[in-house]
Order: sequence, then structure tokens, then C-alpha cells
Amino acid sequence: MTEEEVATCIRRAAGGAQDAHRELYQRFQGSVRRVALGYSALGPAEVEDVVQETFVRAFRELPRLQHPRAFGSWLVTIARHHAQSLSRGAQVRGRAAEDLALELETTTPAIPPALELERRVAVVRELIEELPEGPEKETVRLFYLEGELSAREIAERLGLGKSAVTMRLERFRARVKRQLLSRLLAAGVG
Amino acid sequence: MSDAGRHLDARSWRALRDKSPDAVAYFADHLSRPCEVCEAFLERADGEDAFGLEAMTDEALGTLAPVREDAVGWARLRKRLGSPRRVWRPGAVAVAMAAAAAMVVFAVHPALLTGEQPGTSVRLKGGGALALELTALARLPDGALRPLTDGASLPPEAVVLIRYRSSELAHALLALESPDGSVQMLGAYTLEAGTHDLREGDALAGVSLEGEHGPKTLVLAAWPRGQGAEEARDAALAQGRVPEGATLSRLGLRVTPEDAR
Ligand SMILES: [Zn+2]
Repeated sequence: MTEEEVATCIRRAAGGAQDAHRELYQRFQGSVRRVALGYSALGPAEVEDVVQETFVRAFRELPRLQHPRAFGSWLVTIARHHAQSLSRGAQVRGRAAEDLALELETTTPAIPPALELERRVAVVRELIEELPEGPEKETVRLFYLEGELSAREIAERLGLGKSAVTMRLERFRARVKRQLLSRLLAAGVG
Repeated sequence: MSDAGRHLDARSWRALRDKSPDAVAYFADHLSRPCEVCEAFLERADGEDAFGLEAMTDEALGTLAPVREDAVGWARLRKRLGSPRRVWRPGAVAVAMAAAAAMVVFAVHPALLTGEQPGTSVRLKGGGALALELTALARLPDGALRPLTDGASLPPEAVVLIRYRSSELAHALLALESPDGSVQMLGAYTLEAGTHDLREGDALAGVSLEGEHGPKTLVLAAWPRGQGAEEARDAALAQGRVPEGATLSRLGLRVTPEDAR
């Protein structure tokens, strides 16, 4: 699906076209699910709940989305919020989601060309390759590249505590954030 | 060079957020190389995400794995988003359905499909034999009503109305199958014995084909009322899968835009 196709799909979905909803779901459910699956505190039913809630909410608010290109990052933001509060057992899940609505509208930033999705994916692949062979690389490879197992399942496979895998994934995410922030700042001053 | 040796912390984070040129230039360079201190800060950082970093990161990470279809999740979501069914007051349409005496009647059962045992019923474990037939009528964009034969071509604006004949009280579900194996669950129903229109409350149930394209198959799956029937139906709905253990009746359709026909 090209960027233009996604944008068209979003416009049609905002107008209520069901096939557009379906295409968006199939195109983006994987990345939404990855976010939830990274939380080892969440069981399969809760992960499913995060995915469903994320899309229900995103589709409901689709007409408010100002930049179609921000749709993917919008989804994962909603998903992370849900997953985080679920994993913390927060009682204020609904409220957190409501707060998020305001936040999303005003803070979805324009993404500079140097950080378009394709470029970011390349950055991530490079970072994975640069990791020394070892447990972190193995975990990242299983979780993000193969993308079939949850953090829980990887913990079982590698004989680790549940939270160890989530910690490794968080550490790797921090590397990615560091590299992306560097590029973002460079683009800002360039 | 008072900046030298500086790492991300609350103060420098504020400076970056305020686009202080010194801080921006320093960290653009500093963060281009691995730094455990700064990464630890970024790992802890939650709450305010002034740069949209979390989302940019998750989006990129989520794009690494191959895209996989999730028919079950979609079926659930579709149901939650509001089903595609449209309903009508019974009056005019019901009369037209009654008049459509030439409707093709057919029934397909699992046993027939697998070639094991032709017939019009399937014996279920612990239950009796259920005979089930599905017929349909399309309401076209111009308002006309047309009985449907198997494989009939319809525009996406058409709505399909269902009539069934059941030998007994049954729990049922209606689904729409695509050739790629994906299934859309359209709803749960209770069937009466005899020949009836499929209804939701006091209105006829209609299946909208909006957004559909190409060959589709409507499937009515039923379980004779009795122990576990409703549970079996609900489980099939939740799984988004047309069950093998139910009596099935199918109708093939082809959704084609009006101007392409
Ligand atoms: Zn540092």
C-alpha cells in the first residue's frame, strides 16, 4: 500500500466506507499489535483488547485527523496508551484515553523528510545489525523482525522471566529513540 | 565548551523542547553515537513526548515484520463498528418476497460438500436432524426487488434480503465468505420452524454489499436448539469462523459495479 493509497483509504474510511476500514485495519493491525505484545504483563485477551480498542477509537475520530500521513503514528500512540494503562492495571483507562484526544490533535508533529517512515525503518534495521550477537539482538530479531511471538512467548522460548524480555525491548527502543532524536535535531538545525 | 560531557536530563530536555540552538546542535551530534546515559534517560522518559519520538519509534518498529492478514480481528472490529446490515420495515418488502415464488431454493450441507453423503440434513451430535434452506432476494439501487440464483451478479449498492426454511427451532449465524478464506460475521439469529424472513426485531435483516467486490458467499449456519447450541454459535461468531459442526446453507454472489456489467 503506497502512501497515496493509504491517504485515499483514510479519506474514504472517514466517510464511512467499510472496505476502506478493512484495508486500514489489515495494513496497520500488525504494528498496533506489536506495541501491545511488547508488554509481558498483558495476556492474549488483553492484547486483543488493545488492538480492538485502538481501531475503534481511531476510526471514530478519523474525521479529526489532520494529516493522513500521521495515521500510523497516531494509531501506535493510542495503542501504547491503552497497553500502558492496561499493564499498570489503571482504573482510569477511559480518562487516559479522553486526555489523549486533546493531545493527539495538537501534538501530532509534522515529520521532516529525513524521518519519513522508510528512512526510520532503515535506521532501525541498521541498529539491529550493529547489535553484537547476544541476547538483546536475539530478542529484538524474534520480536520485531519475525514479528510472530509476544514478549511472553519469547520469554518462555528463551527461558527468561517475563519482564526480562520487555526490558530488553525497551532498551532497544531507547537506542532507536536516541538515533531518531539525533536526526530530528539535525534536521531542525540543518 | 560548557556543553561538553552533557547528557540528556530534565534541564537539557527542556532546552531541546524550547529549541535552544546550542542544545539542539550539541545533542544532534552527541546522540548520533551510542550513549548509555542518554539512552537510559530516553528509556525512562514517559509522559510528555514533545518530539513524537515514541510514536515514530513504534511505527518504524511495527513495520519491520511482514504484513499478516487478521480476518478474525477484522470480523470482530467490523461488528463493533456497526454491522453493515440495513433493516427495513417489513411491509412492502415482505409482500414482494412472498410474491417472488420463483426464488431458487437450495441447500448445501457439509456432508454434501465433502461428497460423503448427499442429502438435505446433517445429524448433529446429541441432537436431531436439522434441515435448512436459504433463499434470497436483492433490493437494487432503483428499488426493484429481484430473486437471486446462485452466482448472481449484483452491484455493491444492492442489499440482500434472506429467507430461510428450517425444520426446527435453531440458533444461527449469517456470514459472508470471500474466496481468500476471510469471513465477515454479519449477525446472530434465532430461527423458527418453517419458512420465514430473516429478521432483526420487527424488521427484515438486509445484507449490504457496500464496499464488497468480486465473488462472495452468504452462509447461514444453524444449530438445532438444545444443549450447547447457543454456545457453539457464539463461539463461532467470536472466532470469526464458519463452523464445520453446524448445518450450512450457502448462496454465491458476484459483486460487480453497475457500469462494469
Ligand atoms: Zn549522552
